[in-house]
Amino acid sequence: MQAPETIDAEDLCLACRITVTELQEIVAYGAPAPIREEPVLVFTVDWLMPLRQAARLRDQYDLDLFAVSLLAEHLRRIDTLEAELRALRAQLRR
Amino acid sequence: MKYKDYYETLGLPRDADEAAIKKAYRKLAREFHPDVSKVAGAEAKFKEVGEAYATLKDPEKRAAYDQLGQHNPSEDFSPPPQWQHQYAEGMQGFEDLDLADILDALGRGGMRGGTRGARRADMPAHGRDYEAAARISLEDAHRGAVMHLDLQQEGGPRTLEVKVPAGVRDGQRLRLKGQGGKGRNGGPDGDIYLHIEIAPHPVFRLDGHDLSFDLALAPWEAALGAEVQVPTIEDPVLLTVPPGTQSGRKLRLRGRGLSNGRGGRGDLYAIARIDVPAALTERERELFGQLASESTFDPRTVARQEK
Repeated sequence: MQAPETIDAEDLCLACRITVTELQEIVAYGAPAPIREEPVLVFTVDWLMPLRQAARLRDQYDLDLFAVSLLAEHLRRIDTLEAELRALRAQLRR
Repeated sequence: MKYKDYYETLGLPRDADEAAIKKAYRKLAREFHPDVSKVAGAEAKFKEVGEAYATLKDPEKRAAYDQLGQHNPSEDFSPPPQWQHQYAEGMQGFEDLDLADILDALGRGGMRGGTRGARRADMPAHGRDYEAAARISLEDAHRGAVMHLDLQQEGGPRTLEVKVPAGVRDGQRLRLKGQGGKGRNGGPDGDIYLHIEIAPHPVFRLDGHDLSFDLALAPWEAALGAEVQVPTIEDPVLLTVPPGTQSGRKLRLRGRGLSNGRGGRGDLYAIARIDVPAALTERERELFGQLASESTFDPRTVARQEK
């Protein structure tokens, strides 16, 4: 069993509870950026959690889709930085 | 039916405009969000605020709500008779219903033509998602593992067997698709999101799929070179330490790190650390003394030249 590296638009929408039309609008705002657009939009799987969290915040705070795109981008950046921080802390743990 | 004063919940006058409603909602949602607030009952308050906003932000629902007039919170009241015709034809009455359900039904075109709540009950519904955390060993991250998770579900506690694939990273959130709550009426099953934490290892440090450890060397091993046995995540292997190895040098064992789950592996780094004997025998003292008197090596000079 392997962890998948990519996720297609339909699956991403299902996990994030958004429609494909909403995802297309969010993508048009710049994030998440697909790695393939044909025949369907495909994303790296590291967009899943940030977009899911952003979509949830949208419901909770009545945000618009532009805000969801911005949030997803920043949340992904936080994920990346946290991973780097964990790795650096591990190097210090001697 | 119990009356709920949505305006009071949001702290608004009854003639508040749309912008004021949104502003009040966001402020309160921020204050009582369960991820943020430590106040007792924050989650319930968050839901209350959300329910009030769901009605007041929608002009049609708000107009219907305003039709009810103002009552004291929790006071019993009867909705106007036309609601029975408009939103709940065929239903026995409103007595057992929650005000939010009726207004919610209004947003979906009413409850007409069916039994109470029939529209909601027949709609495909996505199964519930669950989030859980799991701490696994480095060895399990390398080989993959089967875990048993205890989840609190609607129908009571449930133990779920989940397969953690080889190659997971520390901090990774795995989506176990379709392993959450069951979907209803043809809706998809929910997912489980598993937050993976890899427990610290007594020997190896982790960086992505790469591993590193401190390799203690005697001064003569570092100076002359040596073949030393070193640990890996599997069996020990022989590592060639080149002559003149400096402290801090990283010696790479390619492909001896963790599995990346795609058929490859990270690397293992042995980080040289030169140790000296804490106490010397007479003979050792003699040999080190001889070396000191004959060697031209001055590490301070080397360090200065390297700057």
